[in-house]
Amino acid sequence: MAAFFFHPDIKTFNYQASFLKQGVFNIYSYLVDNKARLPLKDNFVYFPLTYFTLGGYQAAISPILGRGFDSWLGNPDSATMVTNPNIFGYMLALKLPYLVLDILVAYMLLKFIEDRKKAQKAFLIWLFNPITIILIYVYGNIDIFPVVLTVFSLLLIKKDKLKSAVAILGLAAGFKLYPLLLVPFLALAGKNTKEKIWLVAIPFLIFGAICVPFLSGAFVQSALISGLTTGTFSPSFSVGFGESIIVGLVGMTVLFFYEMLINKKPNVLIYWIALLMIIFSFSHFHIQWLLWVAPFITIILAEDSDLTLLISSVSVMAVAIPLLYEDRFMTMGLLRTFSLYYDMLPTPFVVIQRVFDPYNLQSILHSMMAGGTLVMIYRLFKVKS
Amino acid sequence: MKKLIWFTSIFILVLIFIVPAIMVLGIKIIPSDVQPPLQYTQDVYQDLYISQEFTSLLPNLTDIGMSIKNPNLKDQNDITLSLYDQNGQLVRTSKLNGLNIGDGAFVKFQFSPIIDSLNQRYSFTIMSPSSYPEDLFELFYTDDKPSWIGQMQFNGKNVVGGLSFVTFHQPVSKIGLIKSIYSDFISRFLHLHSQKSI
Repeated sequence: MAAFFFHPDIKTFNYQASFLKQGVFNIYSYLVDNKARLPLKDNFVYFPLTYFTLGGYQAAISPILGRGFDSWLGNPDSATMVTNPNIFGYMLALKLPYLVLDILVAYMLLKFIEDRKKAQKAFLIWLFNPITIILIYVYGNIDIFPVVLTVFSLLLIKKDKLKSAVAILGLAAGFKLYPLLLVPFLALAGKNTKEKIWLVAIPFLIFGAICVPFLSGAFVQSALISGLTTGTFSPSFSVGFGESIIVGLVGMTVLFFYEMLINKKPNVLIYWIALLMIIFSFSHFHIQWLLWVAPFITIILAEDSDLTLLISSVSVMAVAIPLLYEDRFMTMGLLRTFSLYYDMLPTPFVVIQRVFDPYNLQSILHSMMAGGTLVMIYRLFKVKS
Repeated sequence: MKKLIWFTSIFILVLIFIVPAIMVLGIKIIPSDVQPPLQYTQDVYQDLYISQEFTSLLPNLTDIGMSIKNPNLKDQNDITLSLYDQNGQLVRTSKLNGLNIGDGAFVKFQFSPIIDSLNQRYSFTIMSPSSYPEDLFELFYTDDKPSWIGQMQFNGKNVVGGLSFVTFHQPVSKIGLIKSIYSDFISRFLHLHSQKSI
């Protein structure tokens, strides 16, 4: 899978990360300042640890892959980038760290669940379900990096190492911002006010320390307030006079105060699942975001088999929605390594358009997904209480 | 759990080996090559027209695709492609309206398939007599053209370069297309092993 399916994003962010080998430290300013002369014009939308991790890995594998690798990364031509016969090797090499992290997540799930049988079940569900395999190896985005850290954080929570757990979340935010959303729910588990304040401060200090060296207009525009970062809170409805209610933030606030005032002995895992699923249910999400919640859902699936049908249905709908986006690289574009002839195929969006409004179908699926999610959250809270 | 492992293993194998073959059944036309670079533009309006010679690389020639500039859909007139065989006989015509041509859009001039087009030489002219200098179409051309694209002319005068266009053809058979995709794919995949020594 890793070798055969190609999403162009993996080439774009690896091209950007390749500048680390040339000694570029601040990739955000570098790309903005040199946009005119670079073959690929995109900004670097991820946070600094992504750049250093991918760039560091590339520095190690580039000598093995040969000089053609760097020219392939910088090739802007949409045809020759996929007809290059070495693309299979490049894809395998670039996605190899994902495999290591994928297995690491499975191993941590094994450690997290005490019941041996359930732990083995979680291990197998994680490694052998088509959804995470597609998310990790077909779309090939970088989300597995923060995901592995959030699972590690969960493991530390179980061992009552709360400060280490929030520190890991701060580190995870150095790849992508979303782990910071999980911090408030963990902070409430602090034993006293002082500890709670530290539990909030630590991850933000770590995240700040990672970002400070890069603070510039280019960094703010490219990563901090990019659509990818702010998208989680974009859906809202107007209450007039320019004000709106942000749906994701409402959900997060409700969960936070429920945990603070009503549910005195909270289960952090349930809150994290609820928060992430509310965000996906009430916003236009990118398919790779689903990976954020996948390990946590795996734990629930292993522990409560009654939820299998509901979770499977919600998962299939969640994956189906982005496949209906008007984006070739969600579906047909992934087959371009097989042949450019697949460019001649219409996307599911266009096919559905002939008989039905595809946006309407997306809305139907998203609404059903939101309904299923709300029942799942209710059930999780009910069982745990 | 065994069921899940079997399901996922089969799912992956199907996705890699069967799905690409099934999807081929939906391919109605195939390009003969990739579109050459879009370097320069040439205006087409009133009596300004472009002619282009080419050799068809495949049978069943059915579309000629190219990128056209039409800023803000300003030119809402017709643009016509007339296709001639090597004896100068008109064999097909195809017309598009500017309303359907977004700025820089890749558009296809469609016509009924020419079954015996393989290795035949053709030429076409593009004209838009109803357009005016203030609302005109611009066609892309390039210095970096492949050998199957022949001589280009602006108003009957030979010029250097060639239009950035590509021809499309109906596949002779779906099975043949599947074979050609898989053999090309396998030859590129096996090429990987020859790179080990680098």
